[in-house]
Amino acid sequence: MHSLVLDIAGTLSSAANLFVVAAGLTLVFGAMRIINMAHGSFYMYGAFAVTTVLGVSAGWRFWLALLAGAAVAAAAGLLVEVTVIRRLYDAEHLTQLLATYAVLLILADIAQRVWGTGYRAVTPPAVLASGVDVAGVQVPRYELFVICAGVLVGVALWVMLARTRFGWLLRAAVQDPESIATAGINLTRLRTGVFVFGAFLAGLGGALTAPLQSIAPGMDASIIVSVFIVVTIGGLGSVPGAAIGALIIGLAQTLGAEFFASWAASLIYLIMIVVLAIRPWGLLGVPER
Amino acid sequence: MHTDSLAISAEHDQVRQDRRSGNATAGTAAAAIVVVLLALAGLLWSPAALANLQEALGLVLFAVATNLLLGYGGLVSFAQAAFYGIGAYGIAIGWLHGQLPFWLGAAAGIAASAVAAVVVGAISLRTRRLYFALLTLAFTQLFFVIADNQGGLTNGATGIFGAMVPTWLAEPRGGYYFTLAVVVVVTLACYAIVVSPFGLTLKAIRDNRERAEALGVNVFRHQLAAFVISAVGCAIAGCLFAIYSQSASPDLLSWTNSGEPIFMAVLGGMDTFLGPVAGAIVYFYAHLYLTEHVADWQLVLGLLLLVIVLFKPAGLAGIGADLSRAANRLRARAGRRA
Amino acid sequence: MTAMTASQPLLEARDVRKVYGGFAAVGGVDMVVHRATVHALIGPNGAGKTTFFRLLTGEAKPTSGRILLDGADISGRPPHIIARRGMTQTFQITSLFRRLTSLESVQLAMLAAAGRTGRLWGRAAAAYREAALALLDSVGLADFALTQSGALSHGDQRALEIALALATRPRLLLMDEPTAGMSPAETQRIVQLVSGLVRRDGLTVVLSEHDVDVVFGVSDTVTVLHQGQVIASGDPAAVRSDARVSTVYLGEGS
Repeated sequence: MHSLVLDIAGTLSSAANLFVVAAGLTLVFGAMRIINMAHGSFYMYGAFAVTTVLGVSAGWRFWLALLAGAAVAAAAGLLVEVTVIRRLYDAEHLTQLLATYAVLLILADIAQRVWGTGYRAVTPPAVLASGVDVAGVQVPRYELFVICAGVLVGVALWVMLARTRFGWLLRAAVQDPESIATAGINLTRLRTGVFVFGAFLAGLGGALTAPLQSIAPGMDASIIVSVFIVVTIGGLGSVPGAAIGALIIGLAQTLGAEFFASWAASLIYLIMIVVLAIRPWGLLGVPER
Repeated sequence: MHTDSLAISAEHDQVRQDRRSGNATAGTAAAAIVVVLLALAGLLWSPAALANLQEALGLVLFAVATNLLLGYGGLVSFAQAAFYGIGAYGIAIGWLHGQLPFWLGAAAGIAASAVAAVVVGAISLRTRRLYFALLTLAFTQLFFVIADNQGGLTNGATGIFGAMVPTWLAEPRGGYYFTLAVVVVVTLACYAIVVSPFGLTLKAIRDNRERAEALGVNVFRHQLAAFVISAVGCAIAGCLFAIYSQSASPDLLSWTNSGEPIFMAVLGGMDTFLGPVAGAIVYFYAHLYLTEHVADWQLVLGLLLLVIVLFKPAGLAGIGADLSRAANRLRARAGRRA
Repeated sequence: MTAMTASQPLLEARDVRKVYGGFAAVGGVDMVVHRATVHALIGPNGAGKTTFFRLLTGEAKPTSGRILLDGADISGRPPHIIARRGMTQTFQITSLFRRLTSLESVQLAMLAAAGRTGRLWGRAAAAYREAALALLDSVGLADFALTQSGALSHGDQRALEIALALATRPRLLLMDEPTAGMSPAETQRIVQLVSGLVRRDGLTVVLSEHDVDVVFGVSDTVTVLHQGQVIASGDPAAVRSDARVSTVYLGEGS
């Protein structure tokens, strides 16, 4: 019972975090068919920015730090879009993969210049530091916070996609790109906006999980694999798909550690292989146009 | 479907036209000269310099084998690191657990890679483009996790180290000449494959899969064969690494290691056979120099890759073609004036 | 210009029907194609030409009726089987191997026809080289043997299309709107090419066309489809002056 509650909390919080980051990647791909290997770099920048704003202690500045993290990532996203991404819109997949991988290398180097090569850690703010009694088990409050944040982001995304103009444009870009072109929308600005938004989400994810892990170079390469798996399982371009994918992977990561011991880490890859073997375009994806 | 960006397709077409205008014979002559020079270097260079060159040659094979799939097959895969690593672990595990002589371990590693390639290829090749790449990524990470976790077999994250090759192979000149011989022979074999009917079919599938199918070509089987052949080449390169470093470790199998031969092939020019050769050597020595003298080597490599991918996608081969065309124009102008 | 009447027709369609839901796209079509002739299939949009063609190539199965190739029943057989029996088609939208030269493309088609694409030994450059060059010559591409397909002009690409279809040495070539989108000069070239292949090499051609002048210039037999039915068939002069044909084409800009 004890470990079950903790497992569920752990699963949901990693799922929530993965969802936030994956939603950014899947939206960018869905709207612009860009596969961005540097998406994990924005995640890393979000986490590192939090460490800068907070020093090591936390407090009311924590909420500022979260926003700052997401904002720094968004700024990096803007820079990357303007210099590199906008040359990739009609390019082959290999070109996109290589160019965004190059961006990953460059951003990694800059990160090391700014934040050094060692690892950093932050602690959650006092109000979120203790545990909460759930069914007789002490669950870390911060994990619950991450879960709530994930749900909030999900709801906000849903509202944005369904109700706002930007969301409408985004959905049109995913489902019917020709209509955008003919409606006289400024395609360049829309693309920049979508990419920056994706980077913002990645940075937000990084900022949210900053207190839960050690922040060090290499975070970018390791998170990108999990995010790719989540997005692929869910279907490229589908935000609900990203949510489902995140849940599956979050489950696999927690349960894997419990039940599969040394094979645990391989579980997520096996799942991805099985899902793609059965449904080659992911659970909620559509066949490539 | 994606259309090529105009710059990229124009670059590629130009390189291929130039190839046909006689640069092929020039390439063969140059290659022969290079091999002779490499053989001489074995006699003249210092052991330290030879050790570097030996490592570079292994990477040359890795890049050539990868480009069979990338440039000729048109398939972007992340699996080459897995096959490279399995090759290396063949020798290492054979030595650690079975006291096998290196060539037997190598044979086992290469065979295991081929089998793995059949499985990975059979599943992955049923998907297309991006999903194919991501599936191969998943498989590679799977193999990485196995190498990292199955301590009983692979010694886990620490890897396997030890005197796994005989002394004549471990010492500089012996190791160097052996590596040179293997690389030359396997590269020639790859070349034979590329100019064969099979190679032509691969290129046709790359250019227009549907039309090839309409002509009666079994695309899946051809691509699977190319996948396995490339894997075997990568496995041999991995064995050469084990011979050079007398070690095998899990990060050989990480997906970022798959990116390196792709980078080398693109740098050198993935439309030509010898492009990856040049790319591998330039990349190796640039990386060596940069990591020793420049703190921001990642930045430099990243910028270099970016510039090539965006502006000179035909790589060094493309630049070489540009130069030779410019030289021809100068010669023509000089001829007219005379 | 007489067909070889000594032997049976090369291609025969007997009361072929294709019904989608309640709608008869092709409703009881008879067609007879003799060896070494050009047989044109014309009709306004929606007449059923495309559907009928797909029935011939095997992409679609007839609901009823029979299609005979040299006496053998090929109704409903899949495309690659029909291709192996000697009937190939050119595609309306040019679909070539952009980075392969004309010569390599034809060599590849020949290798594929012979099932030799898996050969890991030998040089592709030598495979069927003489035959491929001869074929390129017959479609007027001898000078462009070493040019990449992607670099050819539109007319040359169409010629290469035809060469690829001919690489398997078919007895009958189906051409779906071969002069679509062509300039008058290019159209003439294709027309002369087709005539030459038929008169000189004994090829049989069935083509569907919108360009009525082309049709009446090059064909030996013309079949007119309207709403899935044959309304006229015979030699060009007779069909041209047929009252029903003029009615159908009145107001049809082609």
